[in-house]
Amino acid sequence: MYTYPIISILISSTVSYISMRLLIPILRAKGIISVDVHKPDRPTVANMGGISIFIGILASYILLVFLGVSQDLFIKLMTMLGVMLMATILGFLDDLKPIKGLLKTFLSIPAVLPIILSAKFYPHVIVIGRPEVPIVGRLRLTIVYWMLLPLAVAGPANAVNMLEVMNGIMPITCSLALIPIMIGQALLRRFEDIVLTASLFGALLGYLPFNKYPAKVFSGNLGSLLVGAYIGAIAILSRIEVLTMIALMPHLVNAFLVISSVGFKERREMSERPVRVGENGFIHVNPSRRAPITLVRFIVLISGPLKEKDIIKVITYLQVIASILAISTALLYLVKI
Amino acid sequence: MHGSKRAVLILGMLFILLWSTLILLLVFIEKVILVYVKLSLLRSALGLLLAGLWVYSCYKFSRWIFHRFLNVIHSSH
Repeated sequence: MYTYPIISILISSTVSYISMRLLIPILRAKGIISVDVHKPDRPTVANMGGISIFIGILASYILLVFLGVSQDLFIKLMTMLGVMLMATILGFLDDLKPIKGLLKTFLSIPAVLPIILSAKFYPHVIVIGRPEVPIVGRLRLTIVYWMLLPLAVAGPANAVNMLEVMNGIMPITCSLALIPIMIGQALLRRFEDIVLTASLFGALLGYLPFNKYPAKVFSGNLGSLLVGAYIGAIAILSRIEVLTMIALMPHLVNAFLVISSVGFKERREMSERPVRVGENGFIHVNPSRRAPITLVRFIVLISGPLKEKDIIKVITYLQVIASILAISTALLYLVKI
Repeated sequence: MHGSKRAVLILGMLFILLWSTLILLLVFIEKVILVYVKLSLLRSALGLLLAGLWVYSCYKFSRWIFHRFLNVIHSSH
């Protein structure tokens, strides 16, 4: 039952780690670099490291197919591959030539198409709609679900992309968010789906040593869009949309705050920065009322100036709280009234 | 209290509030609106309205907290 998930984690983490180690000098040599703006000396760091997450997941899929998975799991793997490819291509294009915020959100909507097509051709394997909700069981959303479906992949993809502002935030928060998702899948007896989650979990673990503070590589839009879209797709396939929403609470709250304050503007399009980096490395809040509201600005506003490492710790603790709430949600699946 | 601990505490409480109200909202929609409202279209409209109200309240509440802290900074300058 848990053999495939364990194999997935081992393979995807190993391949992701090795590929990242090999890729960093190549990315630097090709000039694919970005400035780390939250450090006083503004060092350059290799970009597009998300490619190793993709390679790690792909390697685990190939091995699983080679080991002989069931036809149902094979269909799910191919569906996830379709979602991953669409999100990765969009992120790659965005890294090459920046795409405006609203257009990027719009362009990420088609990433849900592989799931809709699979549900159409294999309705016995992939069921869309009727999400599982704690206490009440399956929700009776017939019209509303289809209205919200375009955002089910685009939403998490862009939310993860928007919070990826500091070293290690994306792999730390997303891997912590995947733990309650796997627990939820196990409690709902969606054992095959755990393999899908485990592949991403392993790939993020393999990638984390290179992205953690002080980062040697950034994921790029390629990595964050891929990871966010993947988590959204898992939520639809396992019908655990509510649990996933709670597990991704720091990302969703951040996206909500940014959109409500400055709309769909990208970081590079904003006239005022949410925070300022002092010469001593402390990050200060921008007191301007016109500056965008972000989770990082909210944190620094409450706490006072903090070093980047401390902000990363605060976001990690917030993700732990979100993951505990998501685990509570998963346990509430067992309660029915 | 140490600044970063205060940030974790306040934002953590905000997360817990969002989570508990979301669960309550879902239970209310499923157990009250979907049971006692007979007309399908009205059920969808009421459910969406309540969900929209929840999102709007979250928006207003989080902005209210943010601006309270921002006002403290402005008044201290």
